[in-house]
Amino acid sequence: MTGSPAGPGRSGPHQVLLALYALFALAAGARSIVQLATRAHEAPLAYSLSLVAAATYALGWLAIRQASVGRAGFASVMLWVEVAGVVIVGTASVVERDWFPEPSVWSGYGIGYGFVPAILPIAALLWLRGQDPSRAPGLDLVSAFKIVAFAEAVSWSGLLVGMFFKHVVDAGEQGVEIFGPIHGTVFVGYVLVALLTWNRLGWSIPVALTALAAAIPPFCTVFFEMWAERTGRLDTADPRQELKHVLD
Amino acid sequence: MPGPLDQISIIAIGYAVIVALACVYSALRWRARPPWLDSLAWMLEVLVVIRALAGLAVLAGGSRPEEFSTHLGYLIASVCIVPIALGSVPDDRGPWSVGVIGVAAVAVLVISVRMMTTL
Repeated sequence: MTGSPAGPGRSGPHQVLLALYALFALAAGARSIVQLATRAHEAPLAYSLSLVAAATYALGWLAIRQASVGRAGFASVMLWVEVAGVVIVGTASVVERDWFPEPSVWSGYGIGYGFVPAILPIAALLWLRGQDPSRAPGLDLVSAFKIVAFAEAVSWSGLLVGMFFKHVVDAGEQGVEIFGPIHGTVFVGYVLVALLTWNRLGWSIPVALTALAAAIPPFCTVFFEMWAERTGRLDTADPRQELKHVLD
Repeated sequence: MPGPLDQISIIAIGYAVIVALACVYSALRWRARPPWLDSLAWMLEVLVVIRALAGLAVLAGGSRPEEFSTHLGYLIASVCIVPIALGSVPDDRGPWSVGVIGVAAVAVLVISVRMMTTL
């Protein structure tokens, strides 16, 4: 996946990011080139956007490699470009279905790839923030868990409103079509962050399973987060130390 | 048509799941990358190579899958992923390098499934 040693061979989360970026550059690139070469007329926009996605992943790979040796400038721009691409193409694919007779890589916020395309740039941006030594300890893992627990509840309310309009008011499926993929993305993100938090904070198995189960019924992630906060299960001795432990 | 090719694919898929789960286990322990994980990954590579050779034999025998270029692309990618992943973290035994192998195992898993569906 990563063609050559990452940075100065330093161990860290960027190795996994680089592997994923290389894989997605390869997958999206091969897919779009085959599609454009063999049946470009079927969905020219979707296939071209897949090629754009592939180029973005290749540039993202370069950006993360540079950031891993201390040159974060390119990454801080490139990763936001990628976020914008996923959001714009993802939203366009659910709002203007006619533009996408065939799916593109970022269709439905990357639903065809298990929402990894939506989570990848966010994970990379979080990593990038942790790289900056001048930053005060801000977005550590616990904060990320709180944010994603709240986002999970927000996406649930969007989905419920969409379901209300679809089934009760019978006003069409658009709400569900938009919030479905968003909720899916946040769900996968919550599960990943919950697993990491479990690992770092040493939750017991019942607490960890409750955290994961809370992702399934609506709004329960927020209740879990409030309970965990109250009972001291989100306490870290020193968040900075915790993060350093993760990075080591 | 469930032939020997599909059987090898199913074994490779099942084995890739085992490698991915081993990576999850190893990552949760958060120690240095254990040597047995490399061995597991190389065994997955052997399976995938056998699968690719059998697949090439079928293609050489005149069988043309509907999505030929896609299928061939998966065939080539399937054998490249594990060596590149292991080659990118040769001397690095840090726990994060387990993630790289995990990504490779999941990629091989997805590719093996797609190879069955595009045949």
